[in-house]
Amino acid sequence: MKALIPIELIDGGPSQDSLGVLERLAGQGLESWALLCGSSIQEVAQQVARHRCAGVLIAESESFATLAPEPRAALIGDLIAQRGFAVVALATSVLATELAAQVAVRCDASVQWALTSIEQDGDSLRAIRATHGDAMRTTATWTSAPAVALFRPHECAPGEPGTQTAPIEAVTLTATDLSERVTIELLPGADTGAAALDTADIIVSGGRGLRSADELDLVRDLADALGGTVGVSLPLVDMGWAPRAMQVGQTGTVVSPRLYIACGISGQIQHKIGIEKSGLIVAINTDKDAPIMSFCDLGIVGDLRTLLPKLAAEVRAARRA
Amino acid sequence: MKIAVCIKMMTGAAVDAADAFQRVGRTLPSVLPAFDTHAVEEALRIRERNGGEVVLVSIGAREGLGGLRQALGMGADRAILLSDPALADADTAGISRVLAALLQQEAPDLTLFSPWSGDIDGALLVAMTAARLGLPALGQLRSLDIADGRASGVRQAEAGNHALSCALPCLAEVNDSINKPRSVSLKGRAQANAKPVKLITLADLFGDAAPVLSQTQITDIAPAPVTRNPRLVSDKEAATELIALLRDHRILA
Repeated sequence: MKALIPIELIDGGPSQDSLGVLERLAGQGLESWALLCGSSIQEVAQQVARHRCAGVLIAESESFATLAPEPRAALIGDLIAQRGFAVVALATSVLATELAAQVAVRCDASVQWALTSIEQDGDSLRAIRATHGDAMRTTATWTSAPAVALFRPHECAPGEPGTQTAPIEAVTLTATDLSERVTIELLPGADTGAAALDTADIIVSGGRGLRSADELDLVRDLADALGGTVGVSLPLVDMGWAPRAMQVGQTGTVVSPRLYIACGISGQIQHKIGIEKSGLIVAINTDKDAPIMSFCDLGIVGDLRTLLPKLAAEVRAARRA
Repeated sequence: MKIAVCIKMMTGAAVDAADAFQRVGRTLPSVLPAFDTHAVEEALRIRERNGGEVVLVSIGAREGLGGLRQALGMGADRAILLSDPALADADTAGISRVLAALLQQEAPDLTLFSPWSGDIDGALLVAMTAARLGLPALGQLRSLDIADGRASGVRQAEAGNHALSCALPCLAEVNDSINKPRSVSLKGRAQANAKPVKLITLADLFGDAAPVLSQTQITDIAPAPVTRNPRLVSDKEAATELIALLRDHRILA
């Protein structure tokens, strides 16, 4: 069974998530081809070819200067028709989701999303999906071809590149009707002062449970007491209370500290995906039924305004002892 | 300006689109999902600035009518609810075919969506529906401006923020940080009952040529493996428990 894995480029390099999906499918015995679209991508192709795959297809064209999915979807549609790909698999991202949708409509196919894994059984393919707010695993099959698959973000991690290089082959975009319907511009990063969340050993994060930006000081105080770093959930960035560099979650930083303390964070799936790889997770929330209370190690039911100063004082006392 | 808002019929827990149109057979609460209140609010604000009407479009069981009344109470002008037992097994591709046909008939200048609980499926539905209509889609926006026949907005993506822009008509998905929804006034509630709600079926939309509704077969639904074993404590025990836990794991000496 042949699979095509479009590789998303982030800061000019292949996204780790895309490489992870490529290796995952290759590891399951699918003939897995990476697809790179862009200009001047020979070097990236060499890099991708050292990961486990059947080969790398590269399409170099000025048409891919846009971030919009249309030209990529057109090329993928052609490749499916010409080369008989039965599967198109992507790692979920903002752009990959739109690409998957456009490929599916172009090929009259369906998309299975939030995949945690994929299983090949002879000629048929099963998707294992995280559903019901991540409480359930749903097994589903595609009843039409091609199968379009979106893995959960950060579900598949790539291994180290090997010494062998898979073949690299050029393909051409022939589609002509690529009038740009949506312009997408990547804004320069205005946020500075990266908190180095990805390497932090201890993180204390604040969320919507905070009533004002000033209350982030309570979070900061506990982080200081523990010698940790401060993070926030998406709503605080959206409200302008904290820079994006401090955001923990699917579109922020995916973290893996030894200790993660979530203060006033309900635990939406986007945040959950961002903290799952942490060692210990402690949640402080007034709502004992908040989603985070079902995926933490210690859930403290209470008001963070009284709890955080108390916990910071106790931690300081314990460290002095 | 004609603004459509797609209202989802959600079950009580955070479930995803395919499930909302029901594979598990739970009862539907008659309330407007919180995410949708933001899309309705945004539509009302655009109408306040530009004039026009706000039409609610929904696909789901008739039990969802209460949610539509709530959105009408906020100020929407009218609603269309498509209910059909054949939709019980519809997947996202199928729903997008039905929604595309509904929107084609209404021909709004702007169609607003809110994300589903899990984001991914919501963004998929917007993008698939737009692709079928041959219209542009702006997904996962946290701001939206309508001016000079164009829609523009900003969203957060993995590599940084995106500034998006396209010509109307278009589809746009707005997240819950975009505004603070108004509450329903007593007057609004009273008026809502008098506003038109059109109840239709697949046959009304497609005659006997209904589109493919599902290309998905669900073979199993099982609980997710448990990865942590949460221990819940009250604020009184908090300090003792936390210190003990941190010592057990050698985070505190």
